[in-house]
Amino acid sequence: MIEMKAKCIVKGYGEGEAIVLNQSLSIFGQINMLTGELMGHDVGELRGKCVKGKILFFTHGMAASGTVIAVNEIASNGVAPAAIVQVTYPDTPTVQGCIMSGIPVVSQPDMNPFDHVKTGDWVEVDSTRGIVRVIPKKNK
Amino acid sequence: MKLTREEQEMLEGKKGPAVQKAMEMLVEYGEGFNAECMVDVNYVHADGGQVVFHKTVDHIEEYHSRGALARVPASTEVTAMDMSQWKEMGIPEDYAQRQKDVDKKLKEMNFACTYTCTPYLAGYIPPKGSHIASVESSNQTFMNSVLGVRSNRDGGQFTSLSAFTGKYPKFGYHLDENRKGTHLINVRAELKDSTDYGALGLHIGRYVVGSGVPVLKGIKNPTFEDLKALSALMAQGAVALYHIPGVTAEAQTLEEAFHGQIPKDEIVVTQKDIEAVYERLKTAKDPRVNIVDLGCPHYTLEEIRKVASLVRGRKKHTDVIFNVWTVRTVKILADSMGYTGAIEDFGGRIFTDSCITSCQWSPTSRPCSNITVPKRPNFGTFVTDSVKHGWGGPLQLECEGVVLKLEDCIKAAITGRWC
Repeated sequence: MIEMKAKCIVKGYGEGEAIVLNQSLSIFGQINMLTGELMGHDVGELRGKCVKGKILFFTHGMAASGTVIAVNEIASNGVAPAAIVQVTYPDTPTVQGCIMSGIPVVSQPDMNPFDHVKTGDWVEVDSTRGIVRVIPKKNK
Repeated sequence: MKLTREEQEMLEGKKGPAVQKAMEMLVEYGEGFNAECMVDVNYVHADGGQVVFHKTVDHIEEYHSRGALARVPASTEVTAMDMSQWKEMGIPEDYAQRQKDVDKKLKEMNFACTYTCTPYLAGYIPPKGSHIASVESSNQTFMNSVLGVRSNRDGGQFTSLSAFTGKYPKFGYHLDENRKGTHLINVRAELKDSTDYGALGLHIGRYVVGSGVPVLKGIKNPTFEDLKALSALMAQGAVALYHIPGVTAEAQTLEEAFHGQIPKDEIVVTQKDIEAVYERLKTAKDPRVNIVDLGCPHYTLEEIRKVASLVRGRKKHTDVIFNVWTVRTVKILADSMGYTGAIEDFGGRIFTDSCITSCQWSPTSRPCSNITVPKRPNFGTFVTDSVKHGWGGPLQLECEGVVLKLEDCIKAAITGRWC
């Protein structure tokens, strides 16, 4: 198990399998609001993967107004991630949507998740205490 | 966060449950971004409650039922139909009725229902240095840069919380230190019109600067429309503020733009970079045109005048849809100037309050219950003079696109072919 410290952005707790996207993400336009599936060419091999109940890692968010609408729609359709880790910095629209929809967010973990977390690993995000625990898939 | 007595009272519920809930979220938000205190906002541009996004309507209705009122001047973003010409847009009765219900509630909550991405064309021009909360990235960037107003990148329903409280956490672009230039850009391209300014904005905002504050030199006598387009496209990256010394509000000189520390290195933008943007957005393969869509961001009266002068006495191709989108304040003038008539005689329409990607064709998830949303037609090849629209339009409408100069857009509408 790996334990990282991270900055709490939106309080809460979430656990689930990791989806690790080593790039920026525009939630509006790159996540299907009805199904929670990643879409578009820019998401590479993760295209079609569903974020529902997962711990979603990405560098930072892109785009603006639409992001808040998209996060709120995704949450109300029951396909929201269990928590979000914004690795490089938190962006305002993503955080605004997560506050409104109660999705925990942490940012800037003290270890680089792209070196330590793989898609499919089990992750627990205790945002309130600023802790991210990773249980690699093979050891589970 | 350090709160004033008034803010503390809001948080404790002494100003009612709507204000309390809004304040709770604003405090959580501020703490996430290490804000030390709140600022007073003197203007908010809020979500327009599109019936194609049921959560935006839920939000408005929830706060309406709690008795929330906008405490500061507040305008609204585009909504999901032209409030008077919805029949001409092909909008069903039940859809329109639902949107009118939302409109009524927004007005009861003291929102000015401008329904535009360019509220400055409806008279909302906050003084330099004032703090605001605003949806719409093109407006944030226009107001930050051209007007010297202070706005972060805010989205969707969240800005209404600032309307209900009059508050926003002090961080990001609300602080002096985050408003200084980070990149010096030397523009060595010839920019012929606002379409070119849009291409410049996308190149810098998306591909050069990332989330910095670019400072541009080499820009000569831009028009209002040029700056509108430049702002809209800078914002398609993560840029919310740029400076053009001598032109935009906060800097007369390069030194001022960089708060005294001019970088040694400069990034050069050439004609090739501008041309590359057009090439990147050219996804159309079929030479036939299905739709020519103008007014992204909403057109000014001057832009509509140009269209009217190009189409007067001519007819569009019968297979082509020809739309111009603007704000109602501008349409009233376009009507009286005869521009609307010229465009209608051509076979096109001027619509207000919405846009082609915000109406019934919007890539929605779940509309409000019990309304009919027509199935989106195949838009085939989408032609526009706006780089912003050429970037987002075909993607959201799932069709192919090409960005052309205005004169070529009109030619395409007449001949039915873009090449």
